[in-house]
Amino acid sequence: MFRRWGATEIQIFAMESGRWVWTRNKFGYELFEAELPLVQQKYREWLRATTDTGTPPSRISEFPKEFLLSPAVGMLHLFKTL
Amino acid sequence: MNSELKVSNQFGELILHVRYASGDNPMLLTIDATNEMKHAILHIAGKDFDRVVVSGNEPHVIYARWGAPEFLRVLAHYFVGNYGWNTTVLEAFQASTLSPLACSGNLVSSVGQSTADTSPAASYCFVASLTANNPRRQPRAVTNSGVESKAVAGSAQFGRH
Repeated sequence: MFRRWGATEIQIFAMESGRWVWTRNKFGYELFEAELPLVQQKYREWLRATTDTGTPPSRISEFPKEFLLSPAVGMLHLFKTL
Repeated sequence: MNSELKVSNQFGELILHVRYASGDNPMLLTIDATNEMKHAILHIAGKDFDRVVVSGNEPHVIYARWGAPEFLRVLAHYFVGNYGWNTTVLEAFQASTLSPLACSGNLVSSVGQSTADTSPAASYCFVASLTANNPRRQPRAVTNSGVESKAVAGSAQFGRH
């Protein structure tokens, strides 16, 4: 349907449980380049606050569920090329 | 006009300090930043800033044209609203006068300063308000210029491709 409209890309802003749902690989959405380092920065802080250790993943689908469902980040700006 | 933005995290540590020059030859210069924030600024500079933040469970479009005087202020609003960071904006209205604007916490105002013809006509941006009860509820559309518009018919199937 979107292709018929002439769309070449779908963008969504995922919030609340959608931050976990829409970042699953099966949907094919990726985080915008400008947003990934911001989420990684927030992830480092989240790890510190939860006394955990680790390094930020390079793909949004690899971030832990607990982080994505936490209020650390409001919206995730995702896109998918058609 | 020159302005500066300082961003600090929940531990009170400075994670970003940038200087911005608006006008015909805009510039966004990183003065100090973590590695992640440096990378983010590389991708943010040179483009119109068009995002959505949640305020009071409602999504709000925020937009600033690259080169516009309010660009750094809009960026600060986004950092506060989406990531909970504390920000301070110093705006130089005259060469020797800096006026601090601080914002922090979860307060976000909608600052859509949209202008037309900033995006190619063939591009579309679909916005879905994804709630805990039903991630596919409340589909919305955003026009090419980033202004929220009426819902798109049939978009209940949104994202199920």
